[in-house]
Amino acid sequence: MKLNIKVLVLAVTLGGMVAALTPDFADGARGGARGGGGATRSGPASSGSVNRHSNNRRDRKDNRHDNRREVRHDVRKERHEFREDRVRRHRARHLTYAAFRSLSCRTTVVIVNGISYYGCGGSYYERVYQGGSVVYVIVVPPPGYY
Amino acid sequence: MKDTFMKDSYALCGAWSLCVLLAGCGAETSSNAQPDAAAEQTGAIEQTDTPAETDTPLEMDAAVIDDGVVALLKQMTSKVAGLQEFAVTLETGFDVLQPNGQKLEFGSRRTATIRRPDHARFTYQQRSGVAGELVFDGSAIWAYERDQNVYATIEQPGDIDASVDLVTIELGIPVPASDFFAKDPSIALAADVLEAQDLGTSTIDNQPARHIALRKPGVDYQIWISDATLLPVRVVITYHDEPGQPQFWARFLNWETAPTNGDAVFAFSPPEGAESIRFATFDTSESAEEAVP
Repeated sequence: MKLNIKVLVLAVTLGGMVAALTPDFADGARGGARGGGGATRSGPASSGSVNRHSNNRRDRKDNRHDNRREVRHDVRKERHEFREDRVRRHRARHLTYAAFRSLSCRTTVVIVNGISYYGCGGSYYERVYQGGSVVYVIVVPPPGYY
Repeated sequence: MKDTFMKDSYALCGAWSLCVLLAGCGAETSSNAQPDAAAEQTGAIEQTDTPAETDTPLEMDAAVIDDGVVALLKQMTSKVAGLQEFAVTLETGFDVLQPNGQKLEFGSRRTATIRRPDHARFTYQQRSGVAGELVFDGSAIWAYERDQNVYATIEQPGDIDASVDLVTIELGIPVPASDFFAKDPSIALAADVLEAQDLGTSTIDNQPARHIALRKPGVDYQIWISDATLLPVRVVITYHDEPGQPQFWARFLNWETAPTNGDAVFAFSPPEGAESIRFATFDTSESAEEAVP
């Protein structure tokens, strides 16, 4: 009985710790939307359009998604699908250029198949265009650098 | 006695841990509930804005569309739509609501060079110093960032409207004031108008311009149209259903309605040493909005 109570205490305590830590992880995942100085630099008004709420525009988007799906499939083959999959799995973790430069590690650059991989603290990053900015996303290390 | 003390200690520790867990859940719940509360508050504010409210001043009851304003607006959009090739410089700014509730302004200096139906070149210099360009060459879209000397490209045979939609909606790259560069700007600017008011003549850059104010679902916008040229000289957009009601503004400077651009303006050649990268949202099934929180 004493053992069961100990297990319960341990489980509840760990549960409380995990619950307390979870919001921090969530904030970390959103870090890529922030620029220098920690400020959020994009929002609804950055679009500069009166048409954001138009149903017509959303309909056009849906139609275009359908039309482009086939084109994407062909291009995907040309663009090393294996790499896309790796990036997609890690797309939630990305850093702005300023944030990447401020990392306290010695950056190494590895070029594999024409792609530059930036090694930092055991992780590898790739530069991509996202939302009008160039950001660094964590990817699986390139072949030979696992 | 010792066993009882141990059991009591474990029970106390367990109760404390449960409190910590519940407090954590409570905090999480309250933070999750905050947007809903804000949304309800926004809804309440919107309700007071409706003309049906009895507290609304009499002059605001008349949610009217001034036909003269719409006619002037369409004169302007027809003028822009009729320009086969043009270039304009824009000074832009926009508000961004911060997580702490503070509203900050960012902005950029931009140029738009348009050759209908499918060629365009947009350059930007953000106040932060980041600079780059976006080129529609009729068969592909090229995005280039100067600081890091990188570019990305995607096939896009189609007119400027289709390219702007691809860039803004799927790739998440803003093209501010793009409503004015569309094949028919009246589709965005004069459709679904709920209210249109004439605010008379204003002086913008020492030149007289007509100040008109319009409302559409979700946005209020004001446009200043030059008396002399019938071209827009300033626009302010208020996103009144977004938290903090952020605004976007742009000044249109140096309209060139008969530019003599060579074809090279609408072609992109990667500068020496430039590295090709990819668009993050390219090849994914997720939408651009998900990638850009």
